[in-house]
Amino acid sequence: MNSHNPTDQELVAHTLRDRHAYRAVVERYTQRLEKYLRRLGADEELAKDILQESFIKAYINLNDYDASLSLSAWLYRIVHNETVSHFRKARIRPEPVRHEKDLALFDTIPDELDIVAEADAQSARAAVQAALDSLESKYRDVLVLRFFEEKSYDEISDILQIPPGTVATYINRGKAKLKSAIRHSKAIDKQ
Amino acid sequence: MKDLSQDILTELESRGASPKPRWYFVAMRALFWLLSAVCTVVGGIAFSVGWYVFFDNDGLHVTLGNILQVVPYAWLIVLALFVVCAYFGFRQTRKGYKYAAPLVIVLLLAASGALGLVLDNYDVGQNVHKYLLSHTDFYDGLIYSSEDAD
Repeated sequence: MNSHNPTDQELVAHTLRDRHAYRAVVERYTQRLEKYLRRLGADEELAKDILQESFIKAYINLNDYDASLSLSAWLYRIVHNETVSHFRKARIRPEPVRHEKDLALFDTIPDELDIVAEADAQSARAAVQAALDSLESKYRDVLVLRFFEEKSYDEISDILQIPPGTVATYINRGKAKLKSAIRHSKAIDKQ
Repeated sequence: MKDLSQDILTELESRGASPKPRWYFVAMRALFWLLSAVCTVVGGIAFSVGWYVFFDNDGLHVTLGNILQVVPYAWLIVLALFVVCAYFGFRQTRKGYKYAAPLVIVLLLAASGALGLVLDNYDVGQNVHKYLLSHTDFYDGLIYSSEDAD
């Protein structure tokens, strides 16, 4: 085993023999999972709580980890389910927090959708952000995973546990809904 | 989030947590496969009884006049319930989520149908039908049988 840069599978195998090896798994994934949680609408405190519970759950279920999946997708799945469960219990709609990097990424979505070419960057960002937040969670989830977490369709399928074809459908519909919501908000702005 | 990894290790220690054994997950998956298989078999039995009731109910002839009465709705409902149950069992298997629900449901229906035809060949449908007619009070009311046609 390469002790300097062990693979995820090696880390899992090591953790099953020695609990302390789990520290390396946690440290490898904490930062990106925390960003993901913040994008799903958790504040810093809640993100820490959900992360802690998710990592504990992952550890307890470590023997259920399927090596044909990436460890990343498996952990994202646990974090996603834990977050959905939290918001469902609390009966609140999450308000996603946008990072500066996210705001820059918002520029790429309008370009791809070819919808706000005439708009200035700032209003486009605000429009996309508001539109994305207004989408149903099934569309928002796939768009966040695709555009902000840069996950492949297969990874999104593994994270959300839906067929890859459904992922593609949700992305296409989500983009169309996003486009429509942005147009709608721009029309309101013009009035 | 600086000390998260340490917090988690401490929490694991304090809860005395350890990974659930592999056999537990293997057993759970096997249970869902079994559920799916059993439901498909029961669906097959429902199909074979329905098939018998519709096509070969002690010489009952299906005509345009009685076709809507002869359709074995009760068995179609039983078949649908068990196919849905088989789908939920399959959905919980490791890769079950990868397949679209309509495709899985159609395949399970086809499997139940094929199994039902095989069972019909061995008169399973007829035997179940006759057993229920002679041993239960409610069944006769659910099915349009040859006696109703007399």
